[in-house]
Amino acid sequence: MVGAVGGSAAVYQMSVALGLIPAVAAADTPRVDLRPLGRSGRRVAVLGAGISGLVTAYELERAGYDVTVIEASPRVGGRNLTVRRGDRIDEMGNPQTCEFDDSPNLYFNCGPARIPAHHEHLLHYCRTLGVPLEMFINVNYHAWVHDPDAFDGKPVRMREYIADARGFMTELISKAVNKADFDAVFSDHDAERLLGFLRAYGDLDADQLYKGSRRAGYASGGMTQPPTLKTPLDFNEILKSSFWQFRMHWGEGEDQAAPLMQAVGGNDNIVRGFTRNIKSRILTGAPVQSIRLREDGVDVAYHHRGRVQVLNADYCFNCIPMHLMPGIPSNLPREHTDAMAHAGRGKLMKIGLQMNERFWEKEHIYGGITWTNQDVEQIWYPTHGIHGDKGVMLGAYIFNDQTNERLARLTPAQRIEVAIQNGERIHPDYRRHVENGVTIAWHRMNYMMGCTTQWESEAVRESAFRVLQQPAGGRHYMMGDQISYHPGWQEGAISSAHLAMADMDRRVRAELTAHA
Amino acid sequence: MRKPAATLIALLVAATGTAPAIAAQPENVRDIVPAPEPFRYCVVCHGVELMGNRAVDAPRLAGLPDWYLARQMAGFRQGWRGVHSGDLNGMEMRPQATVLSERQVAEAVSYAASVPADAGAPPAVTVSGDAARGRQLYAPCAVCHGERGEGNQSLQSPPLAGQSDWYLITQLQNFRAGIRGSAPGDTQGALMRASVTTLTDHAAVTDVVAYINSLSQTDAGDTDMHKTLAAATLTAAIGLGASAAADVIRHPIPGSDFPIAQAVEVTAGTTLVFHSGTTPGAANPDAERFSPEWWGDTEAQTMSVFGRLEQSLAAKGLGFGDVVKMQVYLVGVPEKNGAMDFDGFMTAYRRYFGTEEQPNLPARSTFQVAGLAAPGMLVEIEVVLARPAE
Repeated sequence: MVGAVGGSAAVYQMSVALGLIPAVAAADTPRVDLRPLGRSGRRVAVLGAGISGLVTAYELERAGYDVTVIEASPRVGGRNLTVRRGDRIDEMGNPQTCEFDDSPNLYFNCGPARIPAHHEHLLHYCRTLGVPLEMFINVNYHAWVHDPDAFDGKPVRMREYIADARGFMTELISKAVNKADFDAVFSDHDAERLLGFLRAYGDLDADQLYKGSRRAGYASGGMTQPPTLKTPLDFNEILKSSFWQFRMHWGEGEDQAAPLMQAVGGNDNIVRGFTRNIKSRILTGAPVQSIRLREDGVDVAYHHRGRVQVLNADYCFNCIPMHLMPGIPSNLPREHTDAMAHAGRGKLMKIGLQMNERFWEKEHIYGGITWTNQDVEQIWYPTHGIHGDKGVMLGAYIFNDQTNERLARLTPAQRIEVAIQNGERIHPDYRRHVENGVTIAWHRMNYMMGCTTQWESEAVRESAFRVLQQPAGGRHYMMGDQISYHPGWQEGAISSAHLAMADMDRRVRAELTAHA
Repeated sequence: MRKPAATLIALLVAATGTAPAIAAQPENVRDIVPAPEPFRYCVVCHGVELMGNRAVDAPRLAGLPDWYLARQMAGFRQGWRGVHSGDLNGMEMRPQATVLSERQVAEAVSYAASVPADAGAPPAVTVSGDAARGRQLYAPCAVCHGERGEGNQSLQSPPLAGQSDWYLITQLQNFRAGIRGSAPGDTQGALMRASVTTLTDHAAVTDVVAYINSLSQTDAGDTDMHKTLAAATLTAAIGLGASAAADVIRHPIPGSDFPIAQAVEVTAGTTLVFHSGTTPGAANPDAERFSPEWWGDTEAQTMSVFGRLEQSLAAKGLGFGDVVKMQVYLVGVPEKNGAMDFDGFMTAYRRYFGTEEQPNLPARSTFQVAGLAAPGMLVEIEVVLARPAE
């Protein structure tokens, strides 16, 4: 009955209310509900045309604000950067041009590459802006685990590593459970159930022993011939490998999952979705020269087409990286500049390689991530373009600060050589397949010089956000993923923009009421 | 290029003219020297007008001479700067220097050298060391870098005053550790490396940098107070100083309770407000205009001046507690045989300065003048104020 009247949403709400299904945690920042301005105009300066800047322009112009987006670099999108043939990579001191073949599948998402299903703001915009999405395979048990210090430096299949690790672990725990010590904790029933759990989890035999598992993949047979199990890996080697430290559990992270999503044809289609739908001025090649807070607004001086011009705005939304703000003269209150000074400049590098054939598919790998504790850390196999001629794969995604610093000092060609040397220890013919590549050192990219924001501690971030999530002088908002607890993700950037817009909306409503 | 000297003069005229001059409001953002297109890369890290950015370890370049900039760029390109494994920041600079052509380097140097030292906000003081000890330690440094840290081209010694203190510390530590000045080719660096042996520990480094900071406060090579004030006014005028805390140190007169300061120290970055001379109104408007009865005596006229001044300051968000400097002009009176009535003035002054509610004392001078703008007018008072931090 409920369904007939209210549709599926009503059924869902009712089910949640009755406790039939658990509620999905709502985003902590609701989508802003801006009061339309009508004839009372407001001028807004948006500094930076990354995702948070574009979201702000898109929402505010729909509510009747006069928006100008001021972007220092020659392009729109910020760190949402997808490169294709001929695209320029504007790295300080290492400019590169992408030499991929000109083909719809041959692109590389240099920045955000994957979209989790609970990033509802971003998904809302993909839906309303008509940006088609496809699945992205983030976890693939067919991919490799590699560690030069374990298994004689040979890669092992992730499924084999995980199946055998679980088998050994559960066998060990079974032995402990069988000792009398557990009697105090468990009733007989519980102990029996626990042993059952361990048998199922580790694929143990009836005697609670691990003798190999189909989960690791067969050594031979399995279709028309009798299957033979693989000999389990040496448990000492499993422990020696660093894979268990965090990589084994990567896909279980809060913002991870086995399946994620990506925009069809490259994630910059999200940027295009915004620019297609934004009518406001977006000035590129316009670096900000000064920010001056007035009692009733913000004056932004910017350099555009050879002249310094000043925009007298009522409100300013600023997603300039906080570590670049000290280089821009401003009269922002000391409290704000001090809070920003705690934001550190993160280091991150990705390398994309065009491969002359999709050799990984012959290794039964379709999408997913191979993990290694060499410099490159990760190798990603493209989910799109399956069985096509060529593919662009991710040859490195480096989290380690020291590795990032060291590789950033190399030329792009030298970095690619490191990626090849690392890759060929996993895929023997790797070098032969590499046709060309791009390297993106986000901490060296012009107008960025960092990704993602680093904080000394959670307490420091919280106290900084107590200041920075409030507008300076009631007029100037810092925003972007850097002002969120989810840096390096578009959802963090969008949520931050909505938080800032909601605050301005409250102020504008008060102004309009006062003048009504 | 703007001409900083002309701008300074213009601002000084504005500040001392007849209109009550609150620090000029900055429509003059046009004064900013934007980086020409090819050098936009420089300002991303080194900041608008090359004022430096500690968050990305980029030193201040404004005010550095072309010969020093050219030599260091050559060092980055030839591989004697930015190559040591301990010099992460130098290594970050190196690719930018090497990607340019010789001609682009020359143009970049010429652009950087064209940005005056006082273009942007003065560098923030981030080091607290013993400047008095630093002054002694600086003696050998002065031989090459100059008494006031102004640098010496003939010795290829760069200016130190006006540089960011964090950068000086990093570089001194690098010289001490052999990270800088030990590469073949860096002949000047080698001399410097030998010289830093006088700085035997980290405390010595911070002390000497604290002393160099004190040189920066009074503008390298120029001890003229007006220029310092003018630079501070310029800073305020282009809107860079308003957020900085009003950092005011009031030095009392030793062994005296006379209610003025011996000196008042204002840190660069503080907004200064120059208030025109304020004159009294009529004490008895019914009396004959400009007669002694109409004006009242020196005390009454001083009270009137302070009353008017108080109103004007309040309108600008200021108060007597923000006054850092006062100049008092008094006309002599017959009762004192033609001398000024200093006691009368002081009686009024003490009601506003050195009280429990308002203990801040300004530096002050009092002059007797032959006459003021109107007949019978005995008192005119000018003040300079440091605007408190928001």
